[in-house]
Amino acid sequence: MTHYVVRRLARGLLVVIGVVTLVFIVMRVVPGDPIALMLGSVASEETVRDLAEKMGLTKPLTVQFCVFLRQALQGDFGESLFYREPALRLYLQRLPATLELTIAALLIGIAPAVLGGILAGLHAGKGLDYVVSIGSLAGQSLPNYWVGLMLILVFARTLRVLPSSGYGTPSHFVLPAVTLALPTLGVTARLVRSGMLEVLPLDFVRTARAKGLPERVVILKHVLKNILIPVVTMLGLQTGSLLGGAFIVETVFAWPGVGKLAIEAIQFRDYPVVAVCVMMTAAMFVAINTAVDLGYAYLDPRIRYR
Amino acid sequence: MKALRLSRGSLVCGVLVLIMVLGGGLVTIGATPKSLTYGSAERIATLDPQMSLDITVFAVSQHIFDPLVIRDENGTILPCLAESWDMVDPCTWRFRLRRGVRFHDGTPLTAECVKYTLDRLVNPSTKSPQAVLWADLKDVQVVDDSTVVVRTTRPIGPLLYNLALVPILPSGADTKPGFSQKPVGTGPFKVVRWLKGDRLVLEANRDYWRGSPKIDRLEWREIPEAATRVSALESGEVDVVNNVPPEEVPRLKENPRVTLMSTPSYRSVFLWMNCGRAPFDNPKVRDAARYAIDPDPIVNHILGGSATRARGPLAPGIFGACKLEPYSYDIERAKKLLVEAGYPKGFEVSLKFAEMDVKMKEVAEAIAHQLGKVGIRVSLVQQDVAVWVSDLLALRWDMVTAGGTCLTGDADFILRRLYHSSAKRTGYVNPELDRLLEEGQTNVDQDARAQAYARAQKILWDDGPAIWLFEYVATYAADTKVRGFRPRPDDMVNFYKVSIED
Repeated sequence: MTHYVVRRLARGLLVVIGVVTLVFIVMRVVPGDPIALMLGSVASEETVRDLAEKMGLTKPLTVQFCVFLRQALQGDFGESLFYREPALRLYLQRLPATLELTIAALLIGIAPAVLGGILAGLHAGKGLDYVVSIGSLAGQSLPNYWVGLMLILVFARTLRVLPSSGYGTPSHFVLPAVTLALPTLGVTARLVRSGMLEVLPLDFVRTARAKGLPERVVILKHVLKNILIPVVTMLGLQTGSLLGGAFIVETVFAWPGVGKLAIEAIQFRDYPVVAVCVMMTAAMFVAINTAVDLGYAYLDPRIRYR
Repeated sequence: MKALRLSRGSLVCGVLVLIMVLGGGLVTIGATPKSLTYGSAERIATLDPQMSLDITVFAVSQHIFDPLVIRDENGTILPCLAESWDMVDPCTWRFRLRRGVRFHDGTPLTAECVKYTLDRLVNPSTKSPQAVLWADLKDVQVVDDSTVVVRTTRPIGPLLYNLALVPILPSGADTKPGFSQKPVGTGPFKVVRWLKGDRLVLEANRDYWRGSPKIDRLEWREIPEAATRVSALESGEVDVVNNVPPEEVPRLKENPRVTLMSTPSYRSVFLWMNCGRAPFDNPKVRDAARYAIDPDPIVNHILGGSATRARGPLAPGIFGACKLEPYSYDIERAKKLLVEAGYPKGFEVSLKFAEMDVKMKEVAEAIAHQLGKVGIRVSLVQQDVAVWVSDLLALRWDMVTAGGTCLTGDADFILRRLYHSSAKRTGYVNPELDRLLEEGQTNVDQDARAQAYARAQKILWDDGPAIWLFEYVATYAADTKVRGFRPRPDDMVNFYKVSIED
């Protein structure tokens, strides 16, 4: 088990290094001079040269890469060109807001999704199934920014019951969290439903029912446990991408998280901040996927790690 | 037992009533604090006023700090922390500071603070991007507590305009921890807290030397998405917003609770022709382009009233700006000029642009279409901003559309930086123009400067490397209860004199 975890984490580190390499290549290969952009049109030629030297941009690419990699793994991505502060510190300042939003979205999303999926599975082909299926399809396919703007229009502008944007009180969470939860809700409900359809006809379900177990126990204890593995995998991936920052939703709702930071960094060509966002997102994915894989053993005792 | 429960219940009730009465009393005793929330499309980069060239940082800074002099919305220089000043000689300026001014933490303003502020600005280790504006600063001398002398290596014409961009910091400010998070100034508002990426909360400085602001609290929020920003205004969450998109304007006009305000801004857009290479090295070809381009349909149809046609190289209100006769739209004359220049069949050029400003792509397409009518066949090249900037600076282009604002509100910032031959920005070389721009830079007689700039602009307008197209209009929307908000052409929003009606 320990051996397995160590191996997983080592592989994860390789993934992160790979991502950092990719970031470096993209940043240096993409045409356009970051220095010129950074100093803008006010700068003179000498200042451009000075800064290029200071940033090590005059050294050979291989040297630049080694320096970049070493500093990146130490968490030093350089200073944000816009905020003139260490990029990692900016990222960490914004992370709590994104974490809170992610948790809120998952809390809102998971329970109704599982419930809806179970009901749809039990009533396959009937009215309720269609409602859940169409609803989850809509939740999955409606674009985030559109849903967000519509919610603002209805609940903030017309009904005036919720704030349109910003951060601070619990009421600020509602609209962005619901917007974020919808796709997760849709995917999860569909997965649970198809899992139900797969598992319900199996022998052990019939046995459980034959034993005279109440339907509630059959479903929640026996069936659900057997369909959870793909659901947990999917939720892991969703959580990873939510933690990477819900770019559009955070921007629409002016949510001060890492997604808004990343979007603004990309627009401004704030390379150090872009790099830190990409790397941290990769690291999150690695961590969550590892956790999900370890979680399988708990869900399915037949799984052993070697 | 029953009686006991009853009495307990009434006790609770009594306490509740008491709390409500007291609470209500408290609210009526202290007048409701007046809070104004501003929803801005832009981010605040830093609260350290020397660490950015971003207009938003300057706008925020003027609430927390004061400079020695200020530039009002008409471009006039007025005293601020400096009560008066005189020029000892063209390279030496003496400023007398207002007495009795204190920073938010109670320390008095002294000449030492002015010296510290300017020294820090030009100190290479500060890495201030504004240092380029102060290349000619020689030193700052403290004469006594309220007199300071600023010396320059050569006369600087726009010195006062440049000083209006330098908020005075308390001496030793950056040795104090958290300076860039919660700085202390002499300005009308004090920093309460800054949540980066979300909002800056300021409270009124009751002891402000020009008088307390009329609002108690100012929240400066970041709302990048235009639709959200406008919704926040309409739902009453924010009181003033900037960058109202033109498509929202008709609907907001119908809203009785919203006031729309707009002003032509200093943000101008122009078309550059590279004079360092054929065919635009030929003045007749540049003239042909001037007659072939009609900015009116671009302004009216593409920008839908969110811009005004340019009437000179500088937007109205900038020191030195003058209104020049627009070129007539004359296709035949343009064709004739091309023939005279030796291009009877026209020629092919590229026009490079980046989506930096609103509707830049549509503007570039319209220009290509108009030039096409006289035989100048334009191939459009849309570029990533970073690529565009480096091509622009390296002069790797035939034509570009570009834009910019005038940070200092003085002609020197735009004209010398872009059109002096030593700037190497357009390939245009004209010794007469260089001489005029140098005079504008180094003459401390403002009338002589204005005259020099008038002549320089005439040269640029008739012979130069640029066709000036339009200036954007800055549009704000405010709740009708907001009073005294005046949009400024330099985008420096200011809430010092703004009040909220009950």
